[in-house]
Formats: sequence, C-alpha cells, structure tokens
Amino acid sequence: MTLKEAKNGKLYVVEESTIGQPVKRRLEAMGLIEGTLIRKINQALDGSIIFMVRGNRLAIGKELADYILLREALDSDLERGRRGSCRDHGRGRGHGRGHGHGRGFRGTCARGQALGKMLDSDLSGMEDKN
Amino acid sequence: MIADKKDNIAPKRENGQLKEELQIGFIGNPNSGKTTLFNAYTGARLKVANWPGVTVEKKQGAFKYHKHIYKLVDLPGIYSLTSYSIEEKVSRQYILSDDVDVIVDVADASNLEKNLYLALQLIEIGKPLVLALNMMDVVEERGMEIDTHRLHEMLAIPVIPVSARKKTGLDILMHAVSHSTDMDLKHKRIMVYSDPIEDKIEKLVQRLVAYDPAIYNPRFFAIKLLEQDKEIMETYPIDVSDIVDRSYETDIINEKYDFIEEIVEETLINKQEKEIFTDKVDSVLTHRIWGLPIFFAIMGLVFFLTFALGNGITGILEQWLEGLGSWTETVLKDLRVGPVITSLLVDGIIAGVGTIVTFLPNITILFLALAFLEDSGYMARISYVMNGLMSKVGLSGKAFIPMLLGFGCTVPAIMATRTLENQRDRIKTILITPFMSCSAKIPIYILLSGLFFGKFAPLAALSMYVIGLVTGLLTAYLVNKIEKGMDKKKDKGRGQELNQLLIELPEYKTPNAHSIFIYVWENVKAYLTKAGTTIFLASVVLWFILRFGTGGFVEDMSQSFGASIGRILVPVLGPAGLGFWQIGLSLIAGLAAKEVVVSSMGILFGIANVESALGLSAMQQSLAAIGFGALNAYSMMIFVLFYTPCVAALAVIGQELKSIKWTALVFAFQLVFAWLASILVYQIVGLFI
Repeated sequence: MTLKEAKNGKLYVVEESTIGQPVKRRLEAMGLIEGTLIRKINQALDGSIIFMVRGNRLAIGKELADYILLREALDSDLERGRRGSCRDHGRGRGHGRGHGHGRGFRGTCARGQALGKMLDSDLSGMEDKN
Repeated sequence: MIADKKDNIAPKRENGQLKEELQIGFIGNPNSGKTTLFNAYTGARLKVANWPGVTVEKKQGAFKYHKHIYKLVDLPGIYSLTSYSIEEKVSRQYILSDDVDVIVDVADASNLEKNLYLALQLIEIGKPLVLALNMMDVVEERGMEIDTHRLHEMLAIPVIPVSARKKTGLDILMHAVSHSTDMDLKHKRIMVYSDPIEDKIEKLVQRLVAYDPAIYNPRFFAIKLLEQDKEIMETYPIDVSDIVDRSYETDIINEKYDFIEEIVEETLINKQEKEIFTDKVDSVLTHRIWGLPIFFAIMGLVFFLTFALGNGITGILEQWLEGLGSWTETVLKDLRVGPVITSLLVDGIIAGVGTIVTFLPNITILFLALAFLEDSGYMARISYVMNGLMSKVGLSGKAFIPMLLGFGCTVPAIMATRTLENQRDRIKTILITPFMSCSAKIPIYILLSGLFFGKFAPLAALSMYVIGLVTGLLTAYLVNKIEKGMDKKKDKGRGQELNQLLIELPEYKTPNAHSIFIYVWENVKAYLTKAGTTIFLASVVLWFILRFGTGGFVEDMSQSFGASIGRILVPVLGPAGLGFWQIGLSLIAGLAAKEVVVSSMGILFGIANVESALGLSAMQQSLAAIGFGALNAYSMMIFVLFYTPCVAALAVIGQELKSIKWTALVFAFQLVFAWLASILVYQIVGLFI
C-alpha cells in the first residue's frame, strides 16, 4: 500500500520509495529507507501527510506520499522490536579486515530495539480516533 | 596508501605553532540550536525560532577565550552533505573550504538518532571535528541519559554536552575545540561499511591517489564517487565505471543508519518518547478539517489584537507627543529662535517622526504575535495546513512561511525564500510576498481607516490583509498557468517533485521569553532606528521642499517645490481618486519607507500627532476641504497595499533574484498593478455610491 492508504496512528515498514531524485535522497538522509519503521500521524484533506520516521516528524505533500510504499508492521517486526533481537541484515561487516578503530564496537544489531521503542510510543495512546 | 601530504584543507599552523586565531564552523541539522549557541558565545542577537530554516545565511562573530581569538561561523542547517537547496550549498561549500579550522557539529541531543547521520558524514571528511550535544537540559527533563563517554569511544571525536539555552558546557566545548586543531581523523576507520562496499572504496582510493598523490582524504572522495556525487565526479574526472557500476548512495545511507542504530542502542539510556504532547496538540492544530479554519482564526486574532488592542495603548504616547510639540514651541519662542527653525523642528521633525512613533504599540503587538507563532513550533505546521490551498496555485505549502513573515517585514521574508528548493517557486514567492502587508503599512491603514471608517476602521484595515493575500495567491495561480502553457511546448522532464511539500515539524514547546524578547526588541529597534534615520531625513527633506518655493520661504505650501512635484502625478492618479498633489507627494516619499506616507501627511496637514482625536478631526477637515473622502481613502489604502516595496525590500529582491532585469520587472509590475487596482476600486465602487 502507499503511505496515503495507511491508517493514522499505525506502524508500517517502508518497502520501497520510488520518489525521483533529489527528493528521494533528502528523505533517505532523514532516515526514510527500506526496512525502516514509520508511524503515520495525520492526513490532511488535500492528501498531505504527517508521519514519524526515526525521530523525525515530517510533513509531505500527497504526490510524494503516493510514491512511498509500505507494508503493515507484522507481529514478527513488533515482536523482534520488543525482544530487541537482531535482524538478519544479509551483509557482512567486514570482520577481520584490520581497519582498526571502531571495529570492536560493532557487536549487536540494534534495529530491532529501535523498532521496539517506536512501538512503545505507538501503544501509549496514539491510536487513530478518526 | 593514504597520502600524508597536507594540502589546503589540512589544519592551519604557523611556524609549527597553533594559530592565535581559530575559525570555527557551527554546522548541524536544522533547528538544532546552532544560532542559540552562536548567540551565547558572541553575545549577538541573531534571530532564533522553533522551525527548520530560520538561518539562511552564514553569519560570523568573534570572541576571545584565553589567548585565542575564536571566529565563529553560524551556518544554515543541513541534513546531509549533498547539496539540495541554496542554504545547503552555502553550508557545504564552507565546510569543504580551507577557511575552517575546526568543525563543531551541533546536534540536538534529545533526538540523537536523526542528528547522528550528519555527524557520520562529517567524520568522513576527516577535518578536526567536535560533537556538541546541545539541548542537554531537555534530555535531562525527559529523564533520558546519554553515555557521552561511550559515544566518544564509538565516534572517536570529542563529545561535549552543552545547553545553549542554559549556557552550560560552553567553556568545555571551546576547550575541546582548541585542543582539536591537529586531530587526525583521516586515518581512523569509524564507519566501516560491508565488505563489497569497502572493497570498492579501497580500489577507488588507489585510483584517486594515483590521479592526485597530494589528495587530502581519498577515502572521503572515494565514498562520494561511489555515491556518484556530481561535483566530486567533476573534480576527479577519472574513469571508475568498472568499480562504480551504479550509484551506491542508498546502500551507503542504509549502512550508516545501521551503525547509528547501534550507537543509539549503546549510548542512549531510558529513551522516552515525549512526543505525546506534540501529538496531542497536533491532533487539534493540524486536524484534517479544523486545521485550516483554526489557522485563519489565529491570524484573524493576530490582526485584531494589532489594530484594536494596539490603538488602545497608543493613547499614552499620543499625550506625551502632543506635550512635546507644544513644549518645544514654547521653549523655542522663549529662546527667541527664528520661526523657520521652529517650524523645522515642530512641523517637520516632530510632526514627521513623532507620528510614526505613536504606532509603536501596534507594531510591537504584531511582532509579539509573530514571535509566538515562530517560537512555539506552529510555523512549520502552517505550511502543512496551507499546503492544499497553496498547491492549487502551484506552490508548496512551504512557500507560505515567507509570505507569513512578510506581514512583519518584507526583507527577512524575501531571504526566507531560500528554503524553497525550486527556483521557479522562489521567484513566484518573491513576486507575491510584497503583497502581504508589512508592518510599515500599518500606520497608513490605521490613519486612513480611522479617519473615514469610524467603528468599521479595524474591518477596513483587516480587509487590506485579505485582499493582499487573495491577490498574491491569484497572481501565483496565473503565473503558474502561463508557466504550464509554456512547459507544454517544451519537454516535461523537469523534477516535478521539487515543489512538493517536504518539511520537518519540530516538537511544540513553550515559547522562550528570552527569544521572544530578542525577536520583538530587534524589530522594534529597527522600527525606531528607521524613525530616527530614514523617516527623520525624509521629514527634513519634505519640510524643506514644502516650505520653500521659487520665491524662498513660503507660508502657503501649495506654492512650494513639493507641491510642484506632487502636481506632476495629479493627472496620473486622478482616475484612482488620488489626484491631489499632497497625496502624490506623500506616495513618492513613501518609496523610501512606507511609514513616510503617514509622516509626510502629518507635515502636509500640519498636525503633530495624527492619531489623537484632535489631530484626526483636524486632518479630516483638511482632507475634506480638498475633496478627499472615504472612497478616496480606501483607494489610497489599496494603492499603498500593492505599490512598490520600500528601497530596502527592493535591494534584497535584487540580491536574491541576481538580476537587474527581473528586479526592474518586479518594481514596474507592482507600481502598475497598484495603479490599476486603485482605479478599479475607485471607479467601480464609485458607481454605487
């Protein structure tokens, strides 16, 4: 579904963004990338949308919202979030390449926990009332 | 592998000694408090407010700390080091230039996740960098904790908690800055990408070093080549198509955010979502249906307060001014000062400048209201609630922010159009922003509506704002239609998304008394300064040309040079009901500053204080005597609403459009438009009364 079709107050996972450059790049810099959890907050009559992504509260026009494709956050996304366990990224971290500093700190994956935090805020009473 | 040679972007040293003078660049996401921090160090009073994009120009300041002179540069906020809008280009160019010794990344600590993305990019540049964790007071308020020690370990740069608002941690930050000048980040691997990306970076580094052995930080440029950054590809025109088979930008962003999540996980303790308050306020103010009516109601209230409440307070100033006029006259008589000098002081300066000062309460209330809108966090929401209406005229809701600022003053409003990404949108917004009645037009509206519309005076004044806004939107609509017609002939391949709304909404907060004070005081000061300079000078000049004619000093102003000048315009302004030399002259004078229209009328009709009851009736009689009635007054208000902005506004329009031709066009357009509109009003309404 597109961001426009999503429900207020609900959590979704970004599947794809087909917005043209350079706006896409700007949104990515703000954290809107594949696999990110977003929470739709509000939609205006003209189709403009407010949503939350990685602590950014963004307002976008309806044409942009049409190009952001989402899927509903599944129980597994949420469960993973709550447990704070790691998602399989499918890519290596380049261990053993001898880059030195910073290497030792890359143990855990935190994406799940970040999801969990968004989820908690979601449960704290922001269900859609429309 | 990595060249050790220092080129021009290496830290500056003179004779092996640290420079006495340090150039420090403040960079960070929009609305992270860079300007507040800048103000805290330099004692400057640059404008701060709670919406992204308040600072659009790089500003410099200096202060002395221990033995060093610190030159601070406050930059417009950016989200990433790619150039997207004008303010981003300004910041990026400066950061990459050799002017800067140490970069201070000002991050909003209460929202660490989104602020770290820029930090990771700055680290990759490899220049000396300090992370200032701003808004630590907010972090504490929310019961959050940040492990700054761990953050420092993970990022390998100094991490200093500060609060620009509470002025804590400022000394420690500068201490860290002074010890960071020879920091070497180039050889540290802080952000390590996945194997395939790192392989490509390694290969690109080899190519870059072979191409330019003196290259400062090949890793940074290699990453930029992987992202297919246009500017960097032009700087290093080497064939890398075998390595960079596509843009890896999205991959790189993804991996950076993965790392950010790790950092946040390890350093942020007890993360609390205190956004619920903002959500609750937003469920009302940005409501699907009520959002727009609420906004109009707020603006209605703002202007009602400006006109109704403002006039109430004015009384005190009026009495004081009246007293000053008669007191000066008596004193000068006692001192046996000649009548010419007395006339200059009383009829020229006190009548001219004094008139303007009496409108101070109205101006203050307006700026107070605007400061509230800006500092509360509502400003950015306005672009969301207005987006529907604005997109109908081909503009993004974001373009409404400059328009709204235009109710205060056109100059900063025109500057604020820099936040618009699309050049055509900018030009359109610059064209229509002067239609938003600026505060300098308030005295004219109050004077004329007070003279002729009795208890409907506030309504008459308010109608100017509505007419201005509607005309502005219609103009944008027409320009958009014409543009679309031209586009159909050309190809349609331009980035349509560019004029789509995209804005970050800050958290709501209780407006800060100090910020509001600065905002209002700076504007009031500017108004008073204008009264003391431009309006003062204009008053003196006007007095001269009104008191002197071909035969020397004249008692009857209609024999003066001024009258001769005003008469030139009589035939032109006649159809608009403004065919009076007095009106013609004051409209010409108003080109210097709009307030001068009123001050010159004060001089013309010899009234020290046009706002007092006595002054009003005297002026009404003088105007009635020349046949100037309510309809003429309304026509004049229309003319003033639309006609050419003041010299300062024209200068900034010229600067922003970077074209004399376009500026001249704007000038002519507004003059002709004002003339036609006032004729239209005068002739059509004249048919019915």
